[in-house]
Amino acid sequence: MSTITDIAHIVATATDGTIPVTAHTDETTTFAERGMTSLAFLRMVDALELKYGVEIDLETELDRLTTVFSIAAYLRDHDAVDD
Amino acid sequence: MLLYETLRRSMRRHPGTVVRSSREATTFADLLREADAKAAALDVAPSRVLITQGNHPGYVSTLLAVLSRGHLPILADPALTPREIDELVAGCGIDLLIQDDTARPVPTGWRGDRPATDPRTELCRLTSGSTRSPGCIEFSGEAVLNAARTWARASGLGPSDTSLCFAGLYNGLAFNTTLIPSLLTGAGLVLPGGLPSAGTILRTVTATSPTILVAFPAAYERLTSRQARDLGSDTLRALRGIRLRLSSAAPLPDSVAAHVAELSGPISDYYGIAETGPVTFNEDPRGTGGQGRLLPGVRVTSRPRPSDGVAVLHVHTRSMGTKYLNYPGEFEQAIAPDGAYVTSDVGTVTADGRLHLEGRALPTLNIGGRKFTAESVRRPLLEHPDVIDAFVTHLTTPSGRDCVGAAVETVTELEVPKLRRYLMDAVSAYKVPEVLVVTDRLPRGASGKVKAAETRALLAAAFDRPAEEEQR
Repeated sequence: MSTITDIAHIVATATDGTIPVTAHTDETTTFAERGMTSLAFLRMVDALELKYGVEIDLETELDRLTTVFSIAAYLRDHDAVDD
Repeated sequence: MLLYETLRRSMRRHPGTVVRSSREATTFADLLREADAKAAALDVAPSRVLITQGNHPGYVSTLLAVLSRGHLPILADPALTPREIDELVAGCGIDLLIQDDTARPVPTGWRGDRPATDPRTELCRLTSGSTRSPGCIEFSGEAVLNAARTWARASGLGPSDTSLCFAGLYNGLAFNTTLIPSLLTGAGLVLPGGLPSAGTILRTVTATSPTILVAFPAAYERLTSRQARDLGSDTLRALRGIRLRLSSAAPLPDSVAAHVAELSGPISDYYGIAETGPVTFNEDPRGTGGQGRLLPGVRVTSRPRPSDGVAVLHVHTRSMGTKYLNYPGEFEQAIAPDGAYVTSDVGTVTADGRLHLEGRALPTLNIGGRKFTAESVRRPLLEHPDVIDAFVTHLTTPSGRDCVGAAVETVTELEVPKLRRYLMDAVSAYKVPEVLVVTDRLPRGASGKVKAAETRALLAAAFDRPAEEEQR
């Protein structure tokens, strides 16, 4: 699977499917606008840290984790993914 | 000035006590100097000051600065929206806002009549559980100090402790068990500003070796994503060096409690009521159930409510609030002739002084330890011009998380993200429904009343279908 699809699956799992895998194609609607709560967001962050081996600083990097595509860019910037 | 003078005196006795954020460390001595510097910007007529800073060492110096000039600090959730702040400003007659660590006060421009405070009031905190918009509870300095001293004695808090606090300092859990007790006893503080992911908790515990961890149930739930075998020895040593893991007395699944017990130790319950302060402490709830023993000086009885006969808890403490600043008369109506606060909690006290909560007589949502009424979400929904009616309820996700659901009946097609954006401007983020379904007709009975079970089923179906279908 591509990084985008992997992240979309993490998001879907963290939100119990309220943000489904298919929703990642919409790059403009943020997780918050789709109803992601802070509890689901934390589940997503923990899953991302485990899968990609990054340490996400939630005091400074919240704004970089708003859509599936922005997460992919964040992971690329941290050399956590190649594509 | 009792509160300010007592805190200042206590902090001067422990000048070297360390207060950390994720990035910096300071001491009580430094914070007292910082408070004096911040106070220079507060040399104005006695004012009501709304403080919505996030957790940070500078929160301490801001609070001291405000108190030192005889102003009234009103401590509130940083998640309040501008609209919610406007409501508080109007309801409480707030003059100044402090929203960041510069402690630069921003005038609200409020003019006009405003409710009088009780002469003993030195600090206010907010509740959102029993009134439609947050109630601003007035506390005397003596009540604030009594709450902190009672807790410090019960938990054995002292200068050898360091409390790592992920709960917001404005909240009763953190304010009554951590902020004021630490300043009084010289216990160290670690105040991270970010959300408590498992990674953040574990990295901070490893870096600071706290003796006490204070967090809401959601933070403890996050630790279940990490197994002991995957953690480094430094992290495990730091986790097992924690002598007290404190949570609000919100429901915590047994699996979460067992996991944290294996990683670090048992999670202790703090049960407090915004209006009364700390009520019980249960150091190790495993096997005992309930909320634990009443704290010294606390009286709790269960008595029928005159309005409907439901037996609710009457609570009397030495840390009671005085009144609601923005709801004149309402607090007084909740005080029984013997001075006890009549709660909406249902429960019993056993012969050996243990409290067992059994529920609430008022419908209250509890999401990750934050309590609020469904009405506080429904009301702003109804203010949307296209909304006819709304049904707001608690839902449990397939993985067992608590969340808010809302089914909304509208006059026109309304996109869910747009309605959600509207709500995000109106209410704090934790109140915005995770499951939001827009419909042209809510399920109703013959009388026109919304059918709760059918509407809940409508909401629960959102877990099984693509989000696109939420929008009709």
